[in-house]
Amino acid sequence: MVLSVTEKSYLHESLASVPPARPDGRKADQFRPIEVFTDFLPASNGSSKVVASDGTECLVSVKCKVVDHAVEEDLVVVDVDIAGHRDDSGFVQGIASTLSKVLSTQLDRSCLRLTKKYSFKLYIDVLVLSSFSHPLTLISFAVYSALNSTQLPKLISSDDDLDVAELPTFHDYDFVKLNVSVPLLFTLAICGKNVLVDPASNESDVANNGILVTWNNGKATAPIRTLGLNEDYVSGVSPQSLQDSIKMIEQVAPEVLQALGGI
Amino acid sequence: MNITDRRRILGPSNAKPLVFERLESSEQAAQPPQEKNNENESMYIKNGLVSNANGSSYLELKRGESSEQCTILLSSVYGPRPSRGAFSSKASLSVQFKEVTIEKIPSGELKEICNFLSNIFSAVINLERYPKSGIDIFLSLIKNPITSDEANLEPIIAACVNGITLALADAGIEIFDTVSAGTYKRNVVAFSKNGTEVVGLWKDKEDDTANDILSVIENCRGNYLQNRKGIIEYLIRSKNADI
Amino acid sequence: MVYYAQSTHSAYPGQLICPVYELEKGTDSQQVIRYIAGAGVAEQDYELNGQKIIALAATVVGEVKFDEELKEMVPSGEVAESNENEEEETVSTEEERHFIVSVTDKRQDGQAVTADFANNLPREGDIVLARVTRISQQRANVEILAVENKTTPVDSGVGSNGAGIVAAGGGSGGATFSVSQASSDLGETFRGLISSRDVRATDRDKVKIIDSFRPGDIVRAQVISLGDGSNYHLSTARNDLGVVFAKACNGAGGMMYAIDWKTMVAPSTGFTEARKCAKPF
Repeated sequence: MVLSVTEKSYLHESLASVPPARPDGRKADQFRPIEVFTDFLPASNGSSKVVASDGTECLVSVKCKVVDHAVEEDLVVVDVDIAGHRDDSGFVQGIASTLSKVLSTQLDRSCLRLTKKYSFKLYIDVLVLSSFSHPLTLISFAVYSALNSTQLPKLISSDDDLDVAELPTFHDYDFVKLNVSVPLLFTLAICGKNVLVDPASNESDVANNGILVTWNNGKATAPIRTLGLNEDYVSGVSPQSLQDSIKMIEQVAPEVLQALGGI
Repeated sequence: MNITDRRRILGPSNAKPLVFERLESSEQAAQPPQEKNNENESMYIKNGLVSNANGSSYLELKRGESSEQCTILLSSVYGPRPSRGAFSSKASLSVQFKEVTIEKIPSGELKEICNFLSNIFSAVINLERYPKSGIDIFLSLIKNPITSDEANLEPIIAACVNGITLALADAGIEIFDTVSAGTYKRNVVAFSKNGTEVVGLWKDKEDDTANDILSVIENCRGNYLQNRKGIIEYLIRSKNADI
Repeated sequence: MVYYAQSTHSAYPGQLICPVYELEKGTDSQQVIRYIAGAGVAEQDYELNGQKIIALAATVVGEVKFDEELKEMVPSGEVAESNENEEEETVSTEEERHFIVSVTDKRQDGQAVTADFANNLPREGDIVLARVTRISQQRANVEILAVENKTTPVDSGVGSNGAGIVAAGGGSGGATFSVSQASSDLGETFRGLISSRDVRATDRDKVKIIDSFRPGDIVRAQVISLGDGSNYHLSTARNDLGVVFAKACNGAGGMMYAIDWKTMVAPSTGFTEARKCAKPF
């Protein structure tokens, strides 16, 4: 919904007040409820669908392919498609590039290692069916649950194939669960001096700035960067707010992981 | 060669090409390179080189003595020009980044840089002053300090922020502050209001500065103040030289 | 310290100039001085020791200028009413002075045009020079060539031919063309329209556009609103507004001159044509 100038100004004031009054009554560190479905696409190795309370819906499918890791450098390929945005728009390409960089540098390559010569290459396809707020957090939740539900074919041939010229062979129906630590990406909105986690679309419209924080292996990690959530209210923020947002992620991320892991 | 070009009017057969008198290289004498040696970093600025742009800046950043570690960036600002489509009470901003020599940066990362920069400058340009119009910023990276395969984008991003600020000031487009960026290790922070506010933070690679973002910002601020001083000195001096 | 009395100094974007209000204390009187942001100056919030301060800061490179705006004083009765709890003495001596603070480029200073480099977008109330591109029974479409008393930016505001991907609507640079050539060739000027009701102030419903403007005429008009996404709304309903230059026979003939407010004559042939003319002096 497009807000008028007056509505935006009112909303900004309430979000910047202490404590922040969020339009849906959430606390500053509270996420919107989401529904997660996993492992429902028969043709892919792992899949998930995440539906947020505002109707944002994100589908992720993970497929794998056996490649010679001496030849193929990138073992993770991410493709992002966001309904309502052109594929060549800066918004979509920026999100795709951020995701593929995070996943290809932070996913442990040894988990994909099959034999001494071959590895699995993961193709992660992200489809955002409808998005109202910045979809990065939701995409990252979906990628997380998709990768954690990924089943890879079980190897039955020898894993030492340096000398023997043979292709890996797999068990007819047995799978092995992919066990990898997946980074999570959080977007936060900064309004005045307040930091708000998981901003809804109306909150993003009046945020002074946004910040992206990545969480992996139990700590906040790069990339950490500012994100423009809108064009009207964007302004400078105090360094303390940036510190606060990282602190907030350090608090909430373990709980989020626990919730996502329980699926 | 007996082939005559029949698609064009060639003019009389005894025509001679135009020869222009050589221009005096007075500019070089008037403008000594601006050297500031701190941590072996030096910056050379020249505004207004692109004659058909509304404002432009040429930035040369050197780290150390070798010419290898040199970033050369040309930024030009076009507009405000009329935008078509729906009415908007503010100007829209677009940032395009291009490597004019060998393209080493993946296109996805270029888009990320452009998003990051347009985010910074949306906060900085007084967009309300320019209704129904668009401001286009074009960045041409003439020399890239990247020598190895690993992309080290941070100095480039910092140069982009400084270059755009200079170009905007040259164009006379209203900006709220002389925004500049400072780097520290693998972090870039763009500041405004004399370093009390952060307008952009870019931390892409994990380094030993882990979770202490405040100390990162503090370290970038030193570099920022130095860059900002250079920019302001140049702006004031070139303004006084014009009169 | 009185800010407006200080000698002019150079400013760069972001440089603080003065607060929004100042209290000047004389020997037996005091007055409030209000500073208003003019061209090249913007109000900004600053935080000093936890206190929010609004101050004026420069947004362009140039010289700081203070121009007093002469306003009629606030009626003393009103002031007394609103400040009832204050002492009568203070109220009677208190007056408010307004200064418009602007930062202007020296390059434009002293020239015939007022300095507003690149910040020359047509605004409500501005007088513009426009060329008629198309007429219909209801309106005349025009392209805005210049805002009167304002400089045009180097690229004439007409776009770019940078090395990068040209933004939608972008095109070739303006410096190599004259303003008029570039604008009509590339269609990149701000466009406006003069509705038949806004051609003149009297007999509005009897206006015939064909008897007022022809394509190619240069019209002096006032901006009445920013209009919609594509057109500014302009008006010529004033004596000094209307056609200033026109050529006879739809542009085939020579220059014509206004002989009265609705007739122009081509001196070489003696033919007259109907136009809504601007009063020349």
